[in-house]
Amino acid sequence: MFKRLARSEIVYHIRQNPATLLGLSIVALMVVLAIFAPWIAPYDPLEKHYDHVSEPPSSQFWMGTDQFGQDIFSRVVWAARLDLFIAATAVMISLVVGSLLGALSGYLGGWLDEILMRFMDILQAFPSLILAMGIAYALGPGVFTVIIATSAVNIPGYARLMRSTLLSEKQRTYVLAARAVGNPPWRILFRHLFPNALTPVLVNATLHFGWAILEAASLSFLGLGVAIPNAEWGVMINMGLQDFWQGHWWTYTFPGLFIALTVLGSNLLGDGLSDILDPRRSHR
Amino acid sequence: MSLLEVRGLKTYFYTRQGIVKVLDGLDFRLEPAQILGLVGETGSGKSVTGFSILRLVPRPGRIVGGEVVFEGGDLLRLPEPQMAALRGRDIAMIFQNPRTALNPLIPVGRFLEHVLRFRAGLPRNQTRDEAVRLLSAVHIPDPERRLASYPHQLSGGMAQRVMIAAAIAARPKLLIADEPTTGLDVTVQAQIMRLLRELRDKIGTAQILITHDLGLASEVCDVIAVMYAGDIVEFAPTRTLFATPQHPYTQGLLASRPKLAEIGEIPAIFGSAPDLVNPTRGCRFHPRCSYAFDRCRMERPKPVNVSPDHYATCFLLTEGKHA
Amino acid sequence: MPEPVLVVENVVKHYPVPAGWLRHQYVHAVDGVSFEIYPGQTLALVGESGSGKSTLGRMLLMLERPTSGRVLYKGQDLSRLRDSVLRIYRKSLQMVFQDPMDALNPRMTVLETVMEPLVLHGIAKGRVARDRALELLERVGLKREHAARYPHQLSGGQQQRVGIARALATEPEFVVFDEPTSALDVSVQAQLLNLTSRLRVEYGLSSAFISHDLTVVSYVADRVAVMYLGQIVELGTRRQIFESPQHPYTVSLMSSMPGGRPLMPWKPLVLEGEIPSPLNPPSGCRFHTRCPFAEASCRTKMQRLEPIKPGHLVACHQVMERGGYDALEAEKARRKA
Repeated sequence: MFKRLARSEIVYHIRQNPATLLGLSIVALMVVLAIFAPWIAPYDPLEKHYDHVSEPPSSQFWMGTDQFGQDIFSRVVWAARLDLFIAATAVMISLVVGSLLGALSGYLGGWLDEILMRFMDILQAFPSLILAMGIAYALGPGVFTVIIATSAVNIPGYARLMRSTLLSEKQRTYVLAARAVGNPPWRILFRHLFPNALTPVLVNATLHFGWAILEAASLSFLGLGVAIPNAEWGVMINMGLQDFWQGHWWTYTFPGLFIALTVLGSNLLGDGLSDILDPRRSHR
Repeated sequence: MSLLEVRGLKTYFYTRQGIVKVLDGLDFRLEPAQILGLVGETGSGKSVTGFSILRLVPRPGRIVGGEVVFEGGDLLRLPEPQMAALRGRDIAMIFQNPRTALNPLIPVGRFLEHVLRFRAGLPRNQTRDEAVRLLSAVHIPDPERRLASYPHQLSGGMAQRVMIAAAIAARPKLLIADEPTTGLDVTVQAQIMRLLRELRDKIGTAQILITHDLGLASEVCDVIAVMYAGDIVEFAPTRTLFATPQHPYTQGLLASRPKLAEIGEIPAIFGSAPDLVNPTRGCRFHPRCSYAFDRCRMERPKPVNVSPDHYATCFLLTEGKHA
Repeated sequence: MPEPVLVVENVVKHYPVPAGWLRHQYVHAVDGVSFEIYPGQTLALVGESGSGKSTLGRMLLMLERPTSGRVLYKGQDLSRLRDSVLRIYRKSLQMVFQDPMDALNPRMTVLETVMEPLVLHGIAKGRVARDRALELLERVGLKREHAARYPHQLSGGQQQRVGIARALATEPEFVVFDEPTSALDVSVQAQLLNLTSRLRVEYGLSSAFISHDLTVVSYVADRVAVMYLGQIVELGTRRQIFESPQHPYTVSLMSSMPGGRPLMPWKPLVLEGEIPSPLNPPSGCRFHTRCPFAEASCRTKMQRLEPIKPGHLVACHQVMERGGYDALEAEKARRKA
């Protein structure tokens, strides 16, 4: 599918649109941090330096330390690993489950479609945080919970997107041609419709990635996800805010900054991706 | 004096793949109350010509040279506000797909009244009656009731008639019709063509009909200009063109229409549409021409007169090799 | 006289369209069409929008099931078959579509598109399928280098050639051509028409050719069925229809053919008004609202196809009563005078 995109097209777009390049760089940076955390972080994230508690940024501790004496910079870097993992997993789960449900719904129609969509309505009606809290309460706090909660809440979005794209693609002549040639229904769905309906879903996934980071961090911040004192951006903000009135701005500012950057990066990338993947086609 | 004289019109499109010289020195003339057909296939530049006259060429296209002399004045030198005043008043245009050209939220009557007020300068109390008159002039049945219709409630043929009504509201001297009947049913097509002829006969509106259908052009047009890759390859009064076509492309187009008595192959023009980014050297048609010889590959031919009102752009005429 | 390849018996297709909360209206797309196609023959289905020709074309292949009526392929009633069995018949019944770009999967290469039917029906696999597909591409006038391309990299004419190659991959017996050249330029049209004619002979195809363009029809058809608002109003051989059209609608259709108009024997007839909506077709003869010869009886009497000459059928009792369109025309002229 992507062989189609000649190198020049992506390069051309990026040249026209530096924002995409910025987004790509930011996300790439975060990924690098996540992968190479053990080598990049100067200290162990949970190592407590009791003689350097709550210190502002210095040459020894680039982003300062928190109330337990843990190096913020190392923690931020290690948190990238955790947060990106959570977000990526959550996105993948919602994408797969949502798309499948949406595809079945759109393709088969009828009462299955009605039931599924009503179920999606119900799911979407809950404010995502409340739903996540509910799930967290049932399952107990932890990484697993955050992943489940974040993905569950986003399934309806993918389902609807896939369903509506599928419904419009279904009308296209090549689908009729696929039937005329003798394709059985399941092959039409998977071989013909799915690949063509995937584009908006993928774009949505990149944008969703940013949101997932926020949601994961929020849940952890509320104490529903990863526990203190693990290295996770949301947790770090929680911990940092406990000292708010003492003016230890470095404890919550840096993790917050990283969250914001990652979200920004994935949004820019998502926008760029939607430009590259779709209008290019009709551009010809 | 001719109503419209286009001289050396150059319109280029600046694309990623390079500069596409859609029009590279186009010349033609249109007399008052004359219907000219610009006939060509996709990529011939016929639509771009229409847009160039009104200076409505979409980006990445730009008019880069030449003159468009309308009633003695060069439109290309006109400041934009004056050009804008001209559009819809002295020169009007109608497009393909009339339903998409009309604002779906505005009822037909209000649309026409707007045009009458702002383009034809009619006072508000007269617009409604004039709108009704316009609708009946274009043969829309029950015009009073139709004023309240929305575009989606009209059939393709009726929508096109509404467009024509709006176009002639200010009594333009020139109407440019860009593929007005493509996509419409044949019987409706015939009606629209009849309407265009009426406009010429009753109001004296000169028209440029842009189409890919040579047969259609022959129904309405007084003169036809056959376009290929941005050039006019042949220009003649309709009857003359059909009787004695001189350019191989024209001959090919005429021959490639299936006819009843024919059995066996339709003589088709081989090859495909020209590449306008890297145009071939010499005559743009030579790769597809069965008569091409050396000179055709080297030089671009110039228009040669076959008779005072008929010319063709082909070396066959000068080399005397023509049958 | 050999057995017909395809027999269409009283096929009707009504689409329900919601009108108001719980009520439905029906689009009378096709309303009682019958004909036969013999081996090696091409029947043209001519009509404008609302005639039902495209819907009928799809029903011939059971891509849509009729509301009532039957379609028999070599004696087998296709409308009775389950989908899984029907798919096997798709080997022999194929279609070439109108919009060449839209008819190709934008994410499949040309080669993949043409190979698919071979693989689906178990005719060939892997390397063998690939070679066969390449052969097919050559046969329709494409080159090997086109095989790896995607639809958007081809011109309209080339895309349609791919569509034709795909349809012929399984060596079908019957092909429906749904306005295959309408979306193409005139010069390409001629090339493609020549190609389809040649292939029809090479493959011994019977076919239905749907079009709104009578000049194209005059070139490809053995027999012609003229359709209006879901019904056949005239049916005859190419010669009969073009040399002596009998139904007023056919005459008006021919009169509207711009330029290259075939030699029509009667005075041209330009109709007023628009085609009525298939949601609410006129009573009696559906054409009566636009017919210059309409009388009171036309509004109430249902029309049936009756032979005015052997093999030439017309659905107009006025023409039948007077023994021919020329007589009808003459009488009208007399009455005016």
